[in-house]
Amino acid sequence: MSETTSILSRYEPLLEDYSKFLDVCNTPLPYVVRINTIKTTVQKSTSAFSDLSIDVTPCDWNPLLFQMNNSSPGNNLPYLLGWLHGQEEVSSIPPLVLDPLPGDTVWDACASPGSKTSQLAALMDDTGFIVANDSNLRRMPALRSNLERLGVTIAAITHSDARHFSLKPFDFNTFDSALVDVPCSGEGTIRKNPRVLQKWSLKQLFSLQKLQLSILRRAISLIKSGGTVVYSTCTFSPEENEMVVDKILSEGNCTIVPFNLPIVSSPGLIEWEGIQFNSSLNLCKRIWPNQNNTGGFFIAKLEVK
Amino acid sequence: MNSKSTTFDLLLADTTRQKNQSSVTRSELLEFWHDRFGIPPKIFKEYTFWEKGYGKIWVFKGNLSKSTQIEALGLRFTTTNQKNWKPTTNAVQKFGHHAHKNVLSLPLAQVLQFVQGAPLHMDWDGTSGYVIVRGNLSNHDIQIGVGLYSNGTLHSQIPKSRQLHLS
Repeated sequence: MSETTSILSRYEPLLEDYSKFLDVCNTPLPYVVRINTIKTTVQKSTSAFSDLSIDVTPCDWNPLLFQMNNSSPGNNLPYLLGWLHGQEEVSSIPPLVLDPLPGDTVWDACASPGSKTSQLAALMDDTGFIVANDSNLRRMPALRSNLERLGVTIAAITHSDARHFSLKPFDFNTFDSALVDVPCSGEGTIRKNPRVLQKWSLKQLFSLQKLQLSILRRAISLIKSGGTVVYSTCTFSPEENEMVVDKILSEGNCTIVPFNLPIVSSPGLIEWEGIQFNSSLNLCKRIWPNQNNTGGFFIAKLEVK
Repeated sequence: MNSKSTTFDLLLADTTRQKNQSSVTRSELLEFWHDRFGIPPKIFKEYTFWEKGYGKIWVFKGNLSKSTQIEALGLRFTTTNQKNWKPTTNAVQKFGHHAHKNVLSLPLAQVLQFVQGAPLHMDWDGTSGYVIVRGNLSNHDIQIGVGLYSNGTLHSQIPKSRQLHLS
């Protein structure tokens, strides 16, 4: 048994078809692009694909997503025009769950490289205000260039530790909503990066959990009463998913909100290795790679009290 | 202008410049876009303009009540720290469809050369300087970016990092 398979075996009890899960994890992920409705339309883009002989397959659950069959997603005219952005299918889900409205004020706590930020801006018709934050200076150029190429004019980019994020540069006290797509162990990206588990350890999961909880706690403190926080990771580990949400619920400042997804998912866990969680954790969603031929993801939707 | 290049300073509307304010005014900036490209100032009604570093102007949809030290605010719009002010590729892609002066329309074959950074030799009766390069894709006008037209040659100003490598 490879080291990777050995690590993933901890999830065998959670899966109906574990061998299919392993098979899919060993298969590279297709390249997917999202149509950027700030700069174009689906109709214009599909005509351009056809006229430029760019071979694509539409994703069946989201009319804005297309699988690129041959070309590299970044080396074509529609990409240069900012009509397209390379974004994995499941990565496009958290902004859909947050569902911001034009005019909203939104905090994207861990924004780089800006895939979800630009998607939020598109959902808001590039109207409102997004503060796109990231703690990693090396990830700033990608965030900045993506938002500019995609024609986003409503975003401010800040470089700060999300755990201690300050609203001092701005003239308001709360956001309407926040996307908290935290740094994680990335188990769900194994199809993109087969070496992602090389540094895996339980100690690392708990260290990340501490960071994730602090960022989520800061987000909840920055959102208006009744506002929404979407917490997401691209990992399978309950330590970074349900355990984080369970702890934040126990602090009493938010509740879990039910939501539906347009793709197949599983409910969040209410128990892991003998630890019982708040029963409402089953309202969270887990997306396993074998369910829709995607990467893995975890999403929780929270309402601030 | 504020000496700190990390600070975004708002471009004020009129010409009454004060110390520690931007190096150009909003009026001057909009006059440039109007004079050079025919884009009326009303197009930018919802936008504010900010300077971060001398002559580096950003456009932001909305407003902030004060100067602020952040990494980015909207997108880079125009460079005014040289004799001939230069629009950015992203500004042209965003607002270029409103232009009707100093616009150079290319057939698709030439667009595909331009986006690879190739100079294009052509006769054109417009004035030398920065032009908006437009194309047509699937019967829709597309705003490609900025070109520098000089002595019968259109030089692509698409940043190297954005240029395509088509076989």
